Amino acid sequence: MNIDQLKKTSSEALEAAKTEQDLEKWRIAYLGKKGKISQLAKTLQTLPPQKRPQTGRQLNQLKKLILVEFEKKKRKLNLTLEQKKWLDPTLPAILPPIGHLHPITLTIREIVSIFEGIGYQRVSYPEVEWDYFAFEALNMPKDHPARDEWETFFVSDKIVLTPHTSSGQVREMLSQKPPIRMLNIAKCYRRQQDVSHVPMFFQFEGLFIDRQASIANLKGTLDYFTTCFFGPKRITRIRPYHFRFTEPSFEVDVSCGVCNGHGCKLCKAGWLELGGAGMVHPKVLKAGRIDSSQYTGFAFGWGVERVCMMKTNISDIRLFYQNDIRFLEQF
Amino acid sequence: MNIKFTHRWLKELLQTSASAEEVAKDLNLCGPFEIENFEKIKNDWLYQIEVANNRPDAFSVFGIARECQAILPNFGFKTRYKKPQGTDLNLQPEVSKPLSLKVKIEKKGLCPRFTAIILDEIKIGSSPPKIVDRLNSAGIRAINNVVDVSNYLMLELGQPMHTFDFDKIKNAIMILRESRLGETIITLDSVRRSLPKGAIVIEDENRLIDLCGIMGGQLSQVDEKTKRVLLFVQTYDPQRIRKTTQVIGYRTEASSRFEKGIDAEGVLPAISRAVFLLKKYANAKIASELIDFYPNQYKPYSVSLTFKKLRSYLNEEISPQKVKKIFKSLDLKIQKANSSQVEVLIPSWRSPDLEIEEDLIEEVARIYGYRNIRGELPTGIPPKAKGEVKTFFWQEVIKDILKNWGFFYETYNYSLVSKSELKYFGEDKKAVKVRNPLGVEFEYLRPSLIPSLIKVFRQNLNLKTSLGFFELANVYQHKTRGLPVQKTRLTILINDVSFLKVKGLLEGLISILKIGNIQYLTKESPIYQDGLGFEIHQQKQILGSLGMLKIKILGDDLKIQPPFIIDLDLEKIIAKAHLFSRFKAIPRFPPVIEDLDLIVDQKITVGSIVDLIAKASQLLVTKVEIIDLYQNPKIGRGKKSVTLRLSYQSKTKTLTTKEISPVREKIKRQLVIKFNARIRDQTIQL
Repeated sequence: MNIDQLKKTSSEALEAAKTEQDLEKWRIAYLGKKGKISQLAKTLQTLPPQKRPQTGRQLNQLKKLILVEFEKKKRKLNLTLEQKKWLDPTLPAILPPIGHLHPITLTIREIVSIFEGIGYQRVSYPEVEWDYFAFEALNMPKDHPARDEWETFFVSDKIVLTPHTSSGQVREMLSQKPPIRMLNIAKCYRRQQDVSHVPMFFQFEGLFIDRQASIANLKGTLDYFTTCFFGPKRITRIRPYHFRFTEPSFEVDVSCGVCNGHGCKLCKAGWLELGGAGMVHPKVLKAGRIDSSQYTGFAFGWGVERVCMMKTNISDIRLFYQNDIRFLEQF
Repeated sequence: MNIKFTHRWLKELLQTSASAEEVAKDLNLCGPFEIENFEKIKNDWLYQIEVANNRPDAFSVFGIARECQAILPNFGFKTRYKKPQGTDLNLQPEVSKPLSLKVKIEKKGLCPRFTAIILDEIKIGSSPPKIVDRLNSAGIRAINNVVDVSNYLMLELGQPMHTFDFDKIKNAIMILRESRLGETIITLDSVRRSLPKGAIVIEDENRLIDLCGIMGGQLSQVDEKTKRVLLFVQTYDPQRIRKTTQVIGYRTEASSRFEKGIDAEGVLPAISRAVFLLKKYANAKIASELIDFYPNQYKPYSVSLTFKKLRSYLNEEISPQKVKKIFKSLDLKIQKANSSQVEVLIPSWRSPDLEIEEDLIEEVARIYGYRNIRGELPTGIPPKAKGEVKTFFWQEVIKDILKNWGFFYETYNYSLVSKSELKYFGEDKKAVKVRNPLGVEFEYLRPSLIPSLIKVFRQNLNLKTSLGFFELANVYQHKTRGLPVQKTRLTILINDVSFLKVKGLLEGLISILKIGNIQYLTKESPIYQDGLGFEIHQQKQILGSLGMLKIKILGDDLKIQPPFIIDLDLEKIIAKAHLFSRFKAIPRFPPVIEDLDLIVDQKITVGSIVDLIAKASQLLVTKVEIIDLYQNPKIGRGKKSVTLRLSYQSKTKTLTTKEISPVREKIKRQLVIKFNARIRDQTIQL
């Protein structure tokens, strides 16, 4: 068969096709792996060398032409067949493979995007840290009873696994002069393990230092976060508390999303505890070589898993670290 | 510290128009007094309050009443606290022949204030129901009228006290001293406790009769036969009490109070009220002089607050009158005041907590009410940019790439692992050891993420047979000096795939990150199977490794093909990552595409053939694809057939056959010379 013949027979056969099945049969006969075009291509080798390039080119052109006709025919057939089609939309879809990011990653991303919007930059500092930055610089000298509240892991007398992200405060102050807007998100470690405690967890810590930073500014920041993270109906409040590295210190509550602050089974009289906050203690500023007569600041540090749990109904913090795919698949 | 008491008890010490509900709500809002629980019991209310550790003055009903006086008026309730009855008795002996006790305090700092008094004619019995009920609702068991009074006053006034049977103290001698290592004492709960060095103890004649501040000794216990009681009210060095409770691993209501610090000025009113109640309920008669050893009397000091600073902290104007009123309600006496500042005297029970100006700001702000401060986002200039932003950006990009391919679950694992998990990973030599781990499960900081991923893989195998996981986290390595090395790694585990697909995952990632070509160096490794482990190199740097895990590392109990691992040094990867590669103009002239069929020795790598073509063509070949690769007896033993598709392309013109053919010939020649290749047939131009 030569090229012209093939062109003719293929056109005729294509014309004759009436259904999708006909078309597919035609496609296999002409364009398939063992189709007529391939067969013809194989005969190229039998030609004298000088003839081969030209014939090859012709064959290629033919192939292109046939393809164009095929597409045209396909469109035409589809048009005529369109009304007759019926699909069952309830059949299960053929999904692309779907991967999963861990809820901690998703929560951190949301937190970062919220604080980036008001000028905070994410940082990271050592997780295995000098006792100095974890305690002493935060107004907790050696043997101070306040240290007992952080059930700390020790690597040596002077090196600890950071029990809180506040260890980053003085490092941040030493690395940069005010204004400071730090967001430190890191692993923290404490000697504890039960339904609501794991030996390793994440905290996010904000530190703001500038001239005349006020409690009002802290409250504004808390409200901003809560609105973005939990929704516009949720509000925050601060209550007195005590930390050695802030003065005044606060406990931050967010109104319960279920009862909107009226009190229900899930909350404490309408409020859920979010975590600690406070105005940076002058001794901490001093450790960070910042003049407390010129600058003030506020800080807050909360659990990443905790805020995620408040949003997702995950009731057991240990689930985050068991990595059961039936858990991971839900995110 | 957690305290529990009823509303009626509070009302004995407090005059207020506020209801119990109101008291609970307002304390919670205006002091470090978190209402843990608030419930109705019989015809009363029970408060359970978590008082912050800096407020030992409020570890009692009286302390809370004192706070109510400051807090409640701001909610519109007239409130005043009252002192309980009997706090200022004249403690003179009431018997004809007063008794005496010889006291020796070996070291001054152990006991800042020591008071004691002997009471005679005691009639042991049970306490009245009011006292029994109040003790019970605080979780304390009633014992007898004498012991109960001491516990009752600990709850009411926050002052722990102890009662000895005076006749059980040998020779009426007491030596208060530091314990020696290994000394033992049987405490009231009948437990023999071995003491560390430095606990505070009392010895009579060669016997320990009290573990001070923690629990009394059994030897001198008050029992139903007791006639004479030594009433004992002290303050102790908080540090020592704390250390001792830590070492012996035992805390009591009393020690929790002593270790936070007790107001030395409150001791006398407390012992007086104790005598008052023991007279009332146990027929006590004062039988000795009051012993009161108090060498360093409390001297009130003053702290100042400037109104300007207050305003800057609150962003809210509070009038000087209002500030002064708040201080007065807190019993902070005004020492001096003018239009710009006020100076107050700190009473004993608020020392040392109130120390600096910021402490006073807190007092004013919390009583004024944080709820009254309007929230306002700060203004001002944002800080300078930090370099780390880039690191976090790329970390998230990488996570997204892996997630979006659809093969992986991201995991987060504990950094702490067991020694056995590290068996093949440098073990404890390089790993950082935790000195006080929470069990053997968490003894080391992991130097590699691989063991954690293996664990996750094994745990999930019963749910799914094809699995892929990754983790992005720090690993740690011991350093002889300074902090351990802390480096971020990205580790991937995937099974049920071919080597080429795993390689594709790595190169796909590398190519999206616009990192140049990488090389694979076969490397013997303790974790990868022989011949299936490679180091990943790029420009003389090791970026990580790739390979199939050894069966023994996965665990030979599983009869499955072990997974592949890709383990990358993330810091190096990120340092090389780019969003954009250098833009190259879109070619204006079409390529000439030719296939090249060759047969070479099986051991000759495809990579080396491609490299040779690139070199020989002097940049005229812009792309080499491998379109076919097979081995077949027909082509000869130890040989393979490779079909390559070459694109010849120029930036300046359409190439002609004439221009290509010398290059093609050169390539062929080189292939023959270097690799002894047999070129099959004639090149087909497409």
